[in-house]
Amino acid sequence: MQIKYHLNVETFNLESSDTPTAAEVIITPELMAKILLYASTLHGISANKICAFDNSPQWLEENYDEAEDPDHTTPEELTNDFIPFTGRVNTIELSVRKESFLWTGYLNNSGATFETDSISVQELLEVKELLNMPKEDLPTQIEKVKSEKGKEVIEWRLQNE
Amino acid sequence: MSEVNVRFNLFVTATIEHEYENCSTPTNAEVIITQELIDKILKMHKAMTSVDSYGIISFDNSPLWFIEDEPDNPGNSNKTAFIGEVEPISLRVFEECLFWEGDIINEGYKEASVETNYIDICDVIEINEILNSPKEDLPLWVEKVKSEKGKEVLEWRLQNE
Repeated sequence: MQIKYHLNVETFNLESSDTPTAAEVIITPELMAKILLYASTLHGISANKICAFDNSPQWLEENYDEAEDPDHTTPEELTNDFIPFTGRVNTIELSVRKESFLWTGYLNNSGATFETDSISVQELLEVKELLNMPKEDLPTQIEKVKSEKGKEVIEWRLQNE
Repeated sequence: MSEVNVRFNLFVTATIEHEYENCSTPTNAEVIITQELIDKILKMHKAMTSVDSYGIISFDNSPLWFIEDEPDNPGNSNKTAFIGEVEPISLRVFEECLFWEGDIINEGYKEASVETNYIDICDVIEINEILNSPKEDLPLWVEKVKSEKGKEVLEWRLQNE
């Protein structure tokens, strides 16, 4: 099963709207292990964030009809159709804190910085536990699971394994 | 442990937000590198390299911010404490260097961001080794010490202990 997140993106340092508005990230087992290692490392020392280069996010922009909506005034929540962002995103930084993690991107030559929504480390731990749990134990977790992603994992595993 | 204080006078680079062109920013920062701070930096550096990340960040209020008449000639010009609010101050430790950064906040608004110039991590490692060398080993350092601060610490210990 792919652990995939669709994240909203907030832009800083730029008034133009020509930046990604969302990102899709697939949390591979390797990426999950890396994030959890960073978070646990922070618990052992007096630091609050670890950064690493990571190109996992696919940056997205809304697929809106320029003819119908030339000023692109349609509220974001009314559109749910995204296409890959065509601008060139420079460095992508994965920032892991003790409680959450997110990605930051920089748009070439504009100074624009944008950040994804953060994901809870606790949620990732829950997802990892549910992925590694014997299938026969999954029904006992249905009542206990806290995150939406955790529910998705249980549902997927019960239907597909 | 020696009681010598290692004092760095660092240049400060400010990035001022467009709408606050006239805001006042510090030109220099003074940081006293105590043994406690050295331990923190080296612990962060070790953690960062052990998990294959490129940077690690911690809140740290060590710098005292100043405005100097001649920023390029610190210590030899008139210096006044910067009275604005700099927060939150982050200590950023990378593989080869470290620096501090913060935001100038006025009435709740970020007017500028400031960062000090870099300190070479090798200098911190060398200072730590000299600070913690038994006094009888100090003469061995006279030939091999590389950093200016290392020389200062060595000189201080040779003269005062």
